Amino acid sequence: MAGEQNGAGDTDLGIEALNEKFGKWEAIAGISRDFFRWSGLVGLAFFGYKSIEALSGTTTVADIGLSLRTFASVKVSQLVAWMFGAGGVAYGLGQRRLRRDTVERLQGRIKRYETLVDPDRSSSSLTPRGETRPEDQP
Amino acid sequence: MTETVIATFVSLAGLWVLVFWLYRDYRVDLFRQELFQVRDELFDFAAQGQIPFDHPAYVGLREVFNGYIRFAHRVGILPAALFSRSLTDEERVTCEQLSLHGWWDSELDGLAVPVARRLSDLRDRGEELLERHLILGSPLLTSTVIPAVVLIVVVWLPVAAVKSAWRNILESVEVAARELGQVA
Repeated sequence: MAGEQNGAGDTDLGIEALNEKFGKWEAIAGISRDFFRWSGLVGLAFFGYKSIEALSGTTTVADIGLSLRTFASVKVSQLVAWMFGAGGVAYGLGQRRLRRDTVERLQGRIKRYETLVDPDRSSSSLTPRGETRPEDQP
Repeated sequence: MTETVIATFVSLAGLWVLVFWLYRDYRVDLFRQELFQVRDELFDFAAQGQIPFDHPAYVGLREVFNGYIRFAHRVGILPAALFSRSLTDEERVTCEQLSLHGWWDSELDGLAVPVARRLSDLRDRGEELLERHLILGSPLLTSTVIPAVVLIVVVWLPVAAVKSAWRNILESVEVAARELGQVA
């Protein structure tokens, strides 16, 4: 991070050391983030298992099959809520794809124009679609 | 009963994906988008001839924005806080010297006041975007900050409005009393 800066009086050695230190804490933070992320999934699986366990003996596979079939007869309000949620996600993903297509379409011209005006322009180094470069991925 | 269990499970799994992937990706994209906007304004400002493209303040600010954009996916409140806490005194001094605040004022010396003000404004906007990204980029912080902000808006603003109205009443009484006092 600090290596991107170009202030007066900066020393490469200082920047490198700080970058290295930031990278170390970033890795530790990444581990804790992953811990929360995957423990959420494990918790979900655990409670899913407990639910199934609670149903065992009282609910048969046939019942579950019947329940899945009865999804066809869910209340309209529930169906609308599910459609709303799924539609929102699909809409968001569609918009994101559209935005990235637009970025890809326009960035070449912007880059050419800026280079014409300022041949030494520095770049954010993202991919043409405005995404993180694979080598910058953690 | 069974369909409730299945529906709850699927909903929770969807929320999990939303919180841990889609939301984070969205915040990164938003941060980048807003920074591109500020960086474009900086470029336009220089393209208008207000500041040379090779001026250290322009170059430094653009490089900082580029760094934010490139590493937006790596910037988070937790690594930033841990990094900041772990710095030795010597490293902290180096960090301060390298940060924008460390060299900004000296680089602006000699620039016309409106130009310096405009550049500082762009720098401040970049910092505000970073602050927002750090706070709202974390689902945990978001789930605590947003309710706090809502609480402030709902509770504090009416309290402030009542206080302000009360102050107006007191002031009007005070003015009237002073007027009456002068007559007396």
